[in-house]
Amino acid sequence: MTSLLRLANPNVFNRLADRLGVPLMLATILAFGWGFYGAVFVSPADYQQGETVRIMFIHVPAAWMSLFVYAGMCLSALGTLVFRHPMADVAQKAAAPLGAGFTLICLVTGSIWGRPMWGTWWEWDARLTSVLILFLIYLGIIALWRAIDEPSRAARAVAILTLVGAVNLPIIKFSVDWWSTLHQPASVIRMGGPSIHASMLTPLLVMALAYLLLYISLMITRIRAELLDRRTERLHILAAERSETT
Amino acid sequence: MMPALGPYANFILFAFGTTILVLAVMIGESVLSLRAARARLAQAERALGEHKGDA
Repeated sequence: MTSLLRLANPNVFNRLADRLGVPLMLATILAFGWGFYGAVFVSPADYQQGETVRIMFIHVPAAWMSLFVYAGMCLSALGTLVFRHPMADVAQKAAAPLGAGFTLICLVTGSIWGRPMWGTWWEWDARLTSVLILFLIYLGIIALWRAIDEPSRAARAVAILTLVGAVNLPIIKFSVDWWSTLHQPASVIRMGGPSIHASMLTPLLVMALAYLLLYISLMITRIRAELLDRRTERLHILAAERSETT
Repeated sequence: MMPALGPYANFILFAFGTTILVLAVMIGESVLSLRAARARLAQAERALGEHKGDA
């Protein structure tokens, strides 16, 4: 909690970002290289799905990230509404387009995987529809940020919308258990441990790590951009005040 | 050696290609937004400096 409060100071955040920038970028490239190599060259073909199982290595981590980013945004929303943490709304604003990107990857790769395996690009089943709703919520959050000029009002409105949308997270996770869906049930994050073989699980987890590292790198970049924009805004206000007094 | 991707090779390549494209857009947009923010700040600082000079 103390370290979170220290990060509320943009100077502390910027110093940390300066130190982490290059190592994070290198770690992201390494993880993607290792994950891609494992997914394409090391992991065997599935006995039922054949080579199309390789789509899993880009689809599943994107699905995890879409939920992870939204869960983080819910924490930021609480930070805005309850704790009034000065960086909470900055983090939330930075995360929304990244969450939308991961959800888009999840939807598109799922659809491409579904065509040869299920015989259809799209089915209005519970899992697919609830992820599509998550994508629309992300777009709604981005639109709401742009619709309200005053940052503090926009932050509160977005925080409320984010928390309302959180009801979709357990629906996505448990949709395959609660309803009869075309989508398969969970095979990694489930009671009783993962049901997939280590030869596939390892590259899958490495790809998930690569997505996570990329997300952290991009979050740092976007938070810095937002902090600079807010400083620019303050300078504009200062300039306007000075021109009024002279 | 690249494995033979079987009869659904185009689907696999399409999925990987789309993912790379979306990730590239995410990276590009983030980096460009930081560069644009830096440029806007520099411009605002210059404007404020000029204003101070006028006063």
